[in-house]
Amino acid sequence: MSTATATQETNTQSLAHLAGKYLTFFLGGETYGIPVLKVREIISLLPITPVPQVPAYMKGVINLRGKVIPVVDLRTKFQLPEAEATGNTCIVVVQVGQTAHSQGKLVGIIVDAVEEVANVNAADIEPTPDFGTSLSVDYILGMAKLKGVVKALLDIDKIISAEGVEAISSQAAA
Amino acid sequence: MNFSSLTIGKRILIGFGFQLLLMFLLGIFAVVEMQKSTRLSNEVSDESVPFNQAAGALALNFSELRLNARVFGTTGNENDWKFTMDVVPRVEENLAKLKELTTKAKTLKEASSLIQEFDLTFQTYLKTLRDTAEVWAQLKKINQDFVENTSDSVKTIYDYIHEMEAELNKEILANVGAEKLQERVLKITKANLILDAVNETKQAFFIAQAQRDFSLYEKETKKLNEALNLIAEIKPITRQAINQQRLQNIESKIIGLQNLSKKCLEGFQSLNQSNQARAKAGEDAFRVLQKMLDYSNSISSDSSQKVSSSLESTSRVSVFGMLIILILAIIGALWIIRSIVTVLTHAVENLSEGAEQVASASVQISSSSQSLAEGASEQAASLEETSASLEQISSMTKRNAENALSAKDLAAQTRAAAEHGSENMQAMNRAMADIQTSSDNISKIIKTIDEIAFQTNILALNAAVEAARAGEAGMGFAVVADEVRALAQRSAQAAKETAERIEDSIRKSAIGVELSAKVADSLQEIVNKVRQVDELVAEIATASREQSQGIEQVNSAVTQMDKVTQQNAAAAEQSASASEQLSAQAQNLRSLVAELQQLVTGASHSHKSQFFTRQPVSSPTPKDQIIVSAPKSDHRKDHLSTNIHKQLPSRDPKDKENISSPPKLHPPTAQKKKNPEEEIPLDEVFKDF
Repeated sequence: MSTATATQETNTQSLAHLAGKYLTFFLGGETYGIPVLKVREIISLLPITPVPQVPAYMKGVINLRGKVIPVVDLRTKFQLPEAEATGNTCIVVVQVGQTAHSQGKLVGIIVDAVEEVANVNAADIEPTPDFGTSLSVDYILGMAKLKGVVKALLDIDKIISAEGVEAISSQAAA
Repeated sequence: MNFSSLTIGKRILIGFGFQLLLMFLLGIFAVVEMQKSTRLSNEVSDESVPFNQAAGALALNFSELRLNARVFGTTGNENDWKFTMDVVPRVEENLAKLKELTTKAKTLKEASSLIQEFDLTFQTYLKTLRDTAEVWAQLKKINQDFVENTSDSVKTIYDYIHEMEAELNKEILANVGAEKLQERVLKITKANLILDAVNETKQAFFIAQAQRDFSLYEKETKKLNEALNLIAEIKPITRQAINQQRLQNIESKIIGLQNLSKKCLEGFQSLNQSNQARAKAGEDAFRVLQKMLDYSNSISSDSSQKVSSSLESTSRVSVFGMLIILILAIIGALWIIRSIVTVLTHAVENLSEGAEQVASASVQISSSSQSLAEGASEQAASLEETSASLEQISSMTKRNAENALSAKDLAAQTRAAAEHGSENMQAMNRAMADIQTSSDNISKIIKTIDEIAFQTNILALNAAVEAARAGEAGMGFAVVADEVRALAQRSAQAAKETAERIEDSIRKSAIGVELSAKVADSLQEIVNKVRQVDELVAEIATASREQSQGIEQVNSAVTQMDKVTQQNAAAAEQSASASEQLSAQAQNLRSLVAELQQLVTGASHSHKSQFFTRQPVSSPTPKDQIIVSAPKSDHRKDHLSTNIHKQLPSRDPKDKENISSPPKLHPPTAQKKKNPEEEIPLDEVFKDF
């Protein structure tokens, strides 16, 4: 216990930059959070146009106020079972591949429901637990403890690579 | 047809009928045979016998004819001829009679040829007879001539001799010489010799005629030749013309005699021939007659034999038939008697046994009658108790019936209430359905609210994201967004709760609908059950009424039973006395059976008979008679019971009192008034008889 507390203390320093506002959402019964600055917009579910020859998690593209953006099904991406869309199902439009001189690309991700924009303190953030060498967990920024529930803070840039998105976007544009 | 099922009368009738039938058949046979014999004997008497008689008469007449003819043939007498001729018509008459018989008769066909033959021979015979007569006529003429001739001859010779003798005498007187005298004597001697010859011839002729021996006569005729020689000798010496004429005359006469002799000889020869021919014809005719007689005799004897054989066969068959009938009669009689006696013996044995059993049974009846009387009085007491109980039951049943009626009313009310409840339930169901539709509408509204809340939430989140992007500038906006989001969440929450409530109310109203349906079913069931209850109660009411009536009937029946039981007691006493009578009758029966047994088997059961001498029944009343004779048949039993029933009411005053006091709970209804015999089976009581 003492060693664990020590480890936690050492990690707190490194995880301090992760504190901030996060948009939390539900997927497959679990709650995840993505940094609110990555979120561009939240829209209700729109008709999705399927695109051929793309990975399975790519559902297709939508027309967002005249702008065609790809849509990723996080359930498929996270290898969760398929589910029907409900009234709460939303598309969260996020900005990926954002750098100092590039605004990056807009990508929609389908989530079961959006919860809130929560302010996460550094103290509430825990590092990602090591599940073993073979499992890659680098798309998880950390684990936030909010109102007694552990929520995975997702690094959306790592989940959706800009290249893949660009490929889709170019395809869709073409 | 089963013989053993016949009555004795029929058996005897059949037996005697069979015998009589056989006798009758035999009689018919005998009569037929007798008639045949009569016909045959009639033939004999009508044909054979008259034929025989006529043939006999014919033979007799013919024999007479032959005899007379024979006599006539030998004598040639006129009388004999007349006799003979007298017989001929009689022969012809008989012949005619025979012919008539033959033509009429059936059995004498062969006789006609014989008669014809006889007729033929008879005619022949008559012809020969006439020939004989002719011959005789010739002979008579010859005889006459002969006699005349001889007489003339003799006269002439005498004349000659007398002349000579006269001459001689003259010459002697005249003394004419010896020579002359000698000549004269010679002449006389010769003449005498001639006379002798003629006389001898005549004599021989008659002798020959008498003796029918013409050989002798032939010898004598030679003398005529000698006489002729003598005449020739004296002729030359006769000188006188007259004498010469005389000699010539004599000579001619003698020659005539010779001729006559010859003729006579011939005539006799022809007579002989004729006689022989007649005899032959007569023999022929007689032979034919003999044949006829033989035939007639044979016919007669044949017919007689037929008659006698027929009669003999008839008598033989009759005797044989009589014997058979006798044997059959004996066998039949024995059989019938045996069958009857077997049956009777069996019956008598059974009767004997039965009489014994009746005797013993009568004693048992006596004791059982007494116990029956006791039982009957006990039964009467029990019946009174039963009657009282029945009264109670009857009142209870009436109350039951009343209760059933009020229960029926209540059931009807219940049913009406249940039906009303059912109608209300249906109204409630409709209200529930309305509630459900309203809830659905509300639910739609809530969904809309929920969607608005969701959109608001998204908007609030977007605002929050935008506020976050705005950094420090968006702090206040972030707060507003948060509030908006909280409001949206609250409205969503409220909508959710409202929806839950409404869903709950819908669910509950559905449950209510279900429950109300169940209640409606239950109510319907209640209605049905109540209807059944109603019907059952109605049935109970009816049944109670009927029960009440039935109890009344039972009550009246019990009254009757009581009465009958009293009667039973009296009857039992009577049967006790009757059984004594029965015992006496049984003794009588036994003695009668013994007599019958003696009659049937012949065996002496005298010891029994003596033992069971016939006893007169001591003062038997008609009723007692009936009781004694009651067990013989079932319908007699019925008579008995009715008899007792009729006689009972005036039997015993005490009993009458008992009888006349049955419990008067319910007056017996007229339709249920039963005959005591139907209720109390007296037959079963008397079955032990």
